Amino acid sequence: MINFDMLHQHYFLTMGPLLVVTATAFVVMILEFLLRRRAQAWLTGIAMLGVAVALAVAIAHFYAQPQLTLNTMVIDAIGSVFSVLILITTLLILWFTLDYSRRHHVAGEHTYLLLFAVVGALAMATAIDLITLYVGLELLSVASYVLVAVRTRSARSVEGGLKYLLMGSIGSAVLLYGMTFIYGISGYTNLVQIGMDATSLWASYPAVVALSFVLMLAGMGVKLALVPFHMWAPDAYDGAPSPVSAFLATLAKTAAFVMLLRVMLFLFNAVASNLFSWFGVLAAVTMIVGNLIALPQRNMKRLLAFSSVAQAGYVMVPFALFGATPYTDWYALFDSIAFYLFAYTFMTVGAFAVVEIVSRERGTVDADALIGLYRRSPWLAAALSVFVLSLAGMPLTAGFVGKVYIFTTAIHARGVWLAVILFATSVVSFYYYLGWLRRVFQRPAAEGAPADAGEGAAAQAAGAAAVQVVGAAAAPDVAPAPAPARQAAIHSLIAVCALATLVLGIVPASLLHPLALQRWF
Amino acid sequence: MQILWTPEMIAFFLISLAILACAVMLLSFQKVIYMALAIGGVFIGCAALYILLGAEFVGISQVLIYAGAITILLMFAIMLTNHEAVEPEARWTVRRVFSALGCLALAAVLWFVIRSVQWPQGDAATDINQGHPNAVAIGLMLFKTYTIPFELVSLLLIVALVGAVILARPPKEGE
Repeated sequence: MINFDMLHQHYFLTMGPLLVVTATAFVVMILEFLLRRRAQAWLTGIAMLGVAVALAVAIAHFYAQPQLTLNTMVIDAIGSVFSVLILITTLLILWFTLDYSRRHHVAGEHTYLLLFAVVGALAMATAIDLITLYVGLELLSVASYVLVAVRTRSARSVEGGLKYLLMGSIGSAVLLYGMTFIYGISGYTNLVQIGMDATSLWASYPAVVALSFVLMLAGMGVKLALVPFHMWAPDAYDGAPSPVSAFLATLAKTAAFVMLLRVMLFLFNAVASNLFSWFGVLAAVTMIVGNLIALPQRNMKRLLAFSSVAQAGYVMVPFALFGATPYTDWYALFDSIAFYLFAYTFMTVGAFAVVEIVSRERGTVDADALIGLYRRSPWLAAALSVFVLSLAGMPLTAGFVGKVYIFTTAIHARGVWLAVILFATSVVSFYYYLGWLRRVFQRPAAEGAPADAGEGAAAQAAGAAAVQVVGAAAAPDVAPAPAPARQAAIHSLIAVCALATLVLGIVPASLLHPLALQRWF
Repeated sequence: MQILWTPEMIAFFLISLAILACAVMLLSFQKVIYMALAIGGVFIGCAALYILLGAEFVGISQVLIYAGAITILLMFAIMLTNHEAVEPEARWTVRRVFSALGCLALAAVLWFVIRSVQWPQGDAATDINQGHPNAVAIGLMLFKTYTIPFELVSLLLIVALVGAVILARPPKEGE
C-alpha cells in the first residue's frame, strides 16, 4: 500500500542532499540581493559549504536501505552513488568558479543558478516518477541554458546558449512525447507501477512500447550529446564560461545518464530487452563519429567538447549490454558505468581548468597556445599530461581502468563488436590527444621576454613556478594580473583532479570496493 | 481500427484541424506580430480539446493563462521592440528538402504505429475524479501524489524568472 501520510515520510533519508542544496541556493540568492558588490567569492564559499554538507549527508546515507517518499523519491544504490558523484562534481565546479570570478566578470546569479541546476540533477538521480524526473531534467536544462548565455555581451556565448536552448527544448519535447505514450497505455507515471505492468503492456502494445523507447532514447540523446544529436555541444561548450563548460561536460551528462539508466531499466528491462541493442548502435556511432570529428579540431574547448561526445559513447556501451546479460551479472555493468563517470569527471574538469589557465595566459583558445607549456610551467604540463593520457586511456590513469572495465564487461556479455569499436576508436583518439602533448613539449619557435621569465621560473619549485608565470602573463581582455597567492584556488583544483585521476588509476579498489558493497538491486 | 463518427469525434477532428492550421500559419507567416496571433489560435484550440476531454478546469486555465496572459504578453513585447521585423522569404534548399523527408518519415512511422494499435477504451462508468469536482481532484493530485514535482516546478519558475531577467537586462557599464 502506498503511504501518502504527509507527516510520516523518510524525507531526509531520500531527499536530504536535495533539501540541503535547495536551502543553500536560497540563502545564496538572498545574500546576493543584500550584498550586491564584491561578494562573489564569499557567495561561492557559502555555496561550497552547503554542497559539502549535502555531500556529508549523501555519504552518511550511502548504504541506506531502499526507501520511498510519497511514492516519488527513492533512496537506493543508483541514487546514492550518483548523488555522491553529482555533489563531488558540484564542489569541483564551484571551486573552478571561485577562481574564474576573480578575473572575469561573472553575473552574481551564476552561483545560485548553478545550485538550482544541481537540485534538478539530484532529482533526476533519486526520483522514480516520470513527472518528477522530467521536472528535474527541465530544472537542470533551463538553468544550463541561462548559464551558457550569461555573458550577454559575447556573441559566441549568446549563440551557444541559443543553440543549446533550441536543441535542448526539442530534446525535452521528444522525450516527453515518448513518455506520454507509456502513460497513455499504462495510466501510471510511477516507474515501479509501470514496471509491474510492463509484461502485459509489452504483450498488448509492442509497437507503442517500441515507439516510446525510441522517442525517449532520442530525447535523452540530445541531452547527452550522443552522435546524431550532438550538434549543439561544441558551440555551447565554446561559448560558455569555462566553469560552465566543465559543468555541461560532467555534471549535466552524469545526471542525464543516471536518469536514462533508471527509466530504461524500470520500463523496458524485463520484457523488451532486445530493444537495448539500440543503445549499442547509438554507442557505436557516437564513438566513431565523435572521435573522427575531433581529429582536425584546433580550438581547445571545441576539442574537449568532441572528446566528451566520444566519451559519452564509451559510457553507452554498458547500457547496450543490459538486455543480453543475466540479472546476476548486472552489478558489473552498474560498476563500470559508475566508475567510468567518476574517472571522466575528474579528468574532464582538470583538463578544462588547465585549458582555462593556458588560454587566459595566451589570450587564445587555439591549441597552439600549448606550445612550450613545459618550459613555462612544468607543473601544468605534467597535470595536463595526466588528464590527456587518462582521457586517451593510458595505463596507470583512471581512464585506462574505466575503459578496461567496460571492455572486459562487453566481452563477457558477448558484445564483442562493441568492445572492438571501443578499442579501435580509443586508438584513433590517441592521435588528437597526443597532438596536445606534442605541443606541450615542443620548443617554441621564437621566444620573447615572457619565455625567459618562464625559464627562470622553471628552475624553482614546480607549483610556485606555475603561479608566478601565470600571474605574470595576463591576457589583454582580463583584469589586472592578480597576486600569485590568488592562483592557489585553481592550482589546488588541478592538483586534486590530477591526484584523483592517478589514485583511481593506480588503486582502482579505492572506488570499486565501496561500489562492490552496494546492493544494486 | 474503425473510426466511430460520433459528434465528439467530429468536433475533435475540426478542432485538431484548426490547431494544425494555426501552427502551420505560425511557421509560414513573415511578420512577427501575425505569428503571435497564430500561436494564440493554437492555445485556444488546445483549450477546446481539454474541454472536449472533460477537463473544464484545465481548459479554462489554458484560456486564461496561455491564450490570455502569455499571448498578450508576447504581443506587448513585440510591439515594444521590433514589430516591423520580417522573416526572410523561405526557399527550398537541399537541407530543407532532407529535413522535410525526415519529417515525413517520422509522420509515417507515427501514423502506422497509432493506426495499427487497438488502444485501450475508456469506460464511461468509472469516475476518475472519485466523486470530487474537477478542480478538487486536481488539487488533491497536486498536493498529495505530486507534491514533490509541484515544489520542484516552483524552483523551475524561479530559475526561469531569474534567467529571463539576466538575459534581458541591459549590460551595465564597466562589464
